[in-house]
Amino acid sequence: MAEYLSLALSSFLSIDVFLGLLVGVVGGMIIGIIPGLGPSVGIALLLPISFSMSPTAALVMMTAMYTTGVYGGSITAVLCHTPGTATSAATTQDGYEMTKKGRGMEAVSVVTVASVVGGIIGAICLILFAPALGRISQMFSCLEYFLVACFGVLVVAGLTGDNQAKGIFAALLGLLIGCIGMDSISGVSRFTFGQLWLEDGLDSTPILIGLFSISQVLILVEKLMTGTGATIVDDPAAALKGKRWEKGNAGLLTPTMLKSSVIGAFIGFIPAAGCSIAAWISYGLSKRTSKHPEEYGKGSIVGIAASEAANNAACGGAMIPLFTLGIPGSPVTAILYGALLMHGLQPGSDLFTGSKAPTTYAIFLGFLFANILMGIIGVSMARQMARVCLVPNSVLVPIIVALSCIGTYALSNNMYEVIIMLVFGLIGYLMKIYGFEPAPLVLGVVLADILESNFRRTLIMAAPKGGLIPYFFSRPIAIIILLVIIGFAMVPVLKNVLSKKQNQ
Amino acid sequence: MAKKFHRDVWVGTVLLIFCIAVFFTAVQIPGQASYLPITLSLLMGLCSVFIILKGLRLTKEQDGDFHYSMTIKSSKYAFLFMFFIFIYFLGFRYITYWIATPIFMLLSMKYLKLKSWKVNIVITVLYTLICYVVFVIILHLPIYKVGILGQLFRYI
Repeated sequence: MAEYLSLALSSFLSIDVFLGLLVGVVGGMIIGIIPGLGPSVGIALLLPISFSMSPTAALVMMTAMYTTGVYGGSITAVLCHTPGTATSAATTQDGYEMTKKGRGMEAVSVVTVASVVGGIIGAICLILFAPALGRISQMFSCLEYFLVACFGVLVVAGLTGDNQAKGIFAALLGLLIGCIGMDSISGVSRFTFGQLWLEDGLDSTPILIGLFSISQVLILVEKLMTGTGATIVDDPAAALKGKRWEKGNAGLLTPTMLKSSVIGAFIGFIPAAGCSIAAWISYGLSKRTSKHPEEYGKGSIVGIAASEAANNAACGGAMIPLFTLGIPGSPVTAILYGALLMHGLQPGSDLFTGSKAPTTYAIFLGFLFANILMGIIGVSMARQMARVCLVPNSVLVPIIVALSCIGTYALSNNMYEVIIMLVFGLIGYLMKIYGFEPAPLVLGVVLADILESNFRRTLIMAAPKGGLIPYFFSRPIAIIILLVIIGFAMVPVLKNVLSKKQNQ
Repeated sequence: MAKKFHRDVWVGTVLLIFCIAVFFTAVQIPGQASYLPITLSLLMGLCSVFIILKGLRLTKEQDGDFHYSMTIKSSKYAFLFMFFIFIYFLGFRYITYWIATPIFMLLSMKYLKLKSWKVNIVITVLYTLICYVVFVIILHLPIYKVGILGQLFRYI
């Protein structure tokens, strides 16, 4: 492998590979910032451009756009409560609260550092363990996907806010919204009321933009008109006076970033799971195991680090089954799969041996360098980015609305998506009035299809093997995941018992 | 005099009615496809009952002296702005984004107390131009298909 890596490194001396890396990093950050547009749109856009490029330069550019697109979405999530894609929604919880307190610059820095650490760990997993992890990934089936989705649902319990019943209701409503459309197994229409445009179901991104951006816009309008807030930050004078990076942050965040990166890379390499589920699970796990869970949702830098490290690590993880087995687990990796084939790189063991190995390792190294470059740009521009929170709400509000509308339309060139976004904007605002959290609803929508379709596929697969229970006991990975879920569920109980013992 | 209930009682009741409606719609779905919606409607119904019960407990504890951080009554500006957004959407849908957006931005910035017309116009023009370059020239978004005047802004 060392030989291939040294050959791969030498390819970065070529100007087209370096330019590809730069275009991918900067382009990804820009495209991630626009609500609705994510790395999938950016990479799809690069496909025709990359046709005349060398395979290394083209794939380095695209994978760089993948990781920086995820990062870019988190910047607006932190500064304007407008996550670019579902992967950044978990970061909104604490990032925006920090911005409101005038710590936007620090929040952007934490997002950047955590994204870089997560991205680098994801890239290391990709470089060192891709073939081995690829074989493990092959051992996952519907039952394991279903259990991972169950893990995601369990995370909801940690995101419910003050009223648990309201939080769980929101998550169940999200799952119900995810049921809208044609059932993927039997083809039966559910809750479509004869509307053809509902047959495909509702995409999570317009719902996310509505619930987070439009509802926040309405809150900003109300504050502005009643004279209680002309800018996002409570005290504009102190907004840029804070430090970019507090002294103890490294010590405080390192364990969380490492733990979340490993979780992210692991969840990422499970096809169908993806970056957003990795971010939520990592955030939930971090909150549940924290000594100060009450700080989460109120501007906790550990919470930001947990979700950000996980979603960027998941990008590296998601490329493992793609390169080793040719299994694209998400829309982004599906486009990357097309790009690999277009450049004559057939996923499989051939990519890791022989003449194509230097190209493969150059792509992986490009992914690693993209994360480092993203970190340098992100940290050096944190101050400039944090200035967004000083823009008067009277200017910011119309821009967010107009950008959300065109960004949502650009998702599938469909005005129905814009209607859905606006309807969920109103629903999100009503939810805030009546004390419901929007995050569990989004998570429910994201998980619905994975949960249901995989459970029903499991039932079909288990039938000839004597039913669900014998089938479950024949799958060791499923048993391990279930044990992890039980462990996760038991953490608060154990913490209670321990604290009671300590008090005694 | 009618007893004043905490608003969670009403919210829970409305949600319970919604869950009943979902349940009766879900039972009409044929085959296995109905399992999850039925289960979800039942669980949501259960959550609604818990919301009502918590509302009743809060009614008893707070004895009619309820303090809500946000209410419908105190959100008139937000709802009015939502109405503006809806009008903007209609402009986007039936005229074109490139005409509806500048009008929406100019008027909404003025409504949101931006004093300088100069700044208002500069921001509107800059936003529209940047958006046109990004979405139409670079991304080739077929937004010209939306609205009767969309074709006027088609980039060849």
